[in-house]
Amino acid sequence: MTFDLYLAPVTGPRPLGFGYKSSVKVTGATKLAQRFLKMLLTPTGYDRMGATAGTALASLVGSNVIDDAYVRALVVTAVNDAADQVRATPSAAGDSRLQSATVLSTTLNADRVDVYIEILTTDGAKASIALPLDTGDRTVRRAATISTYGSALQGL
Amino acid sequence: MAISVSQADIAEAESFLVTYLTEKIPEADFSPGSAMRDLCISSVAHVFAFLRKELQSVKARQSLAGLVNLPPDEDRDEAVDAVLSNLFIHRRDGTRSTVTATLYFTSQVAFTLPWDTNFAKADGTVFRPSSGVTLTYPAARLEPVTLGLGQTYYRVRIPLTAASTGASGNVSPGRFSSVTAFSGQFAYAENESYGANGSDIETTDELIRRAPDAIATRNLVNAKSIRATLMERFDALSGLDVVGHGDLEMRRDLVKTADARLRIHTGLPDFPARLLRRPVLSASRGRGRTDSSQSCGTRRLTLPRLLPRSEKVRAYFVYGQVSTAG
Repeated sequence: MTFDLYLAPVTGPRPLGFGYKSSVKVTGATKLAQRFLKMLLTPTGYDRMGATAGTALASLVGSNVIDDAYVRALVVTAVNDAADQVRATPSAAGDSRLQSATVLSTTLNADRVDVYIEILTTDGAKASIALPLDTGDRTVRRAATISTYGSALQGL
Repeated sequence: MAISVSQADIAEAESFLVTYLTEKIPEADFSPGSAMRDLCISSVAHVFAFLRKELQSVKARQSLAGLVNLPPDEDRDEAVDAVLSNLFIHRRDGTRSTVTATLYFTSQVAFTLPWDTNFAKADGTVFRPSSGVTLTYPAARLEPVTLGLGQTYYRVRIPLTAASTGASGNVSPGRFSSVTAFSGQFAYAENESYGANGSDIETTDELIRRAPDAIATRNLVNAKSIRATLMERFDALSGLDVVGHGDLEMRRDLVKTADARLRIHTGLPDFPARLLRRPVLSASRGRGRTDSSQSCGTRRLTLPRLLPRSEKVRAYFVYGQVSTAG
């Protein structure tokens, strides 16, 4: 089983880093969830090394949305798109691969959209992802779980 | 040395980096989409690909073997010049064409021809007096000549040299379209023969082809060095055949024997029988001695008086029309 670097949310001018003092390894389902989130939150065309990588989910950031159904449709499309791309990319030898990504719920609040996603690996492991999408300020929330990863990235 | 990095070069660099780092850190995940990939591979792949290309380019320019495979461009020319300059071989500048011009005058008078008088052909090729100095020609130098319409001119022949190098100076015979005014009696000028000896600057391919000959001891000791030395020294030489040991034309190696009918060429083991005027009746008439009692065919001679001590030359001679044998 291979490791990846954990993209930790930090405060200050940098929304992301590798920890305050030392880098953190991440493995297993958490590593897969991180890769999935990275793909989900990357705007299409943003990655110069892979122009087709990413989804349209980031278009929600800073936008005005009033229709819950529209938000859910966009999120589901983006999640499926990200899952397809993650499944299509080769993974390291011995690592479990993404089996599925399911949108559990989307909640349209006054200042943000809360999204809950569950991913399932080919080994049967599960990882839950809570994805705040602030529409107002870009405050990065401090937390130690993968659920904060999304809020960190949306501040980019 | 322009370096262009293609997408394939970047992909190749990424592949190399992944292989290399996976070997060093087997437990790390460098697969596409991982943070490790972004941080350690993708972020440096472009620069790494650039450096690899530059390294290949520099490597190819370290030897003629690599340079000949590069596409022709100015960088390649400079690289060839640089490599060969290490061996004191330099690209030949072109040579200036020379031509003999006939100047016609309406009367037999002395005239002064300035050194910078331009004789221009219709194609723009300019010639100047080969003397390089201003000369005065007495009237006696001009010889009268009557042309087709019965008009008498006075002419004098002047050697001219092209103002610039290049094969374009090898002009065709004909009149010069314009000549700088230098005499009131001057009528016109023409060249009756083709311009000669004009050559362009040596191309890179020509320079590479010449290099093996040039890389030799700069003494007149062997064919390569003779060719290189003389060609370097005399720009007007366009070609050179060096005759040495082993060449039929090398009369030095044609051994004179007591019998004029016996001719031996020590440089040619298979000295052709057709060169023998008459059949040799007896080998014992030769200057050397035979070590075979065969009445015909090939025999061996030792020529101790003609060659340095302890050196024996194996020469062959033939009876009549019998073919030689080794």
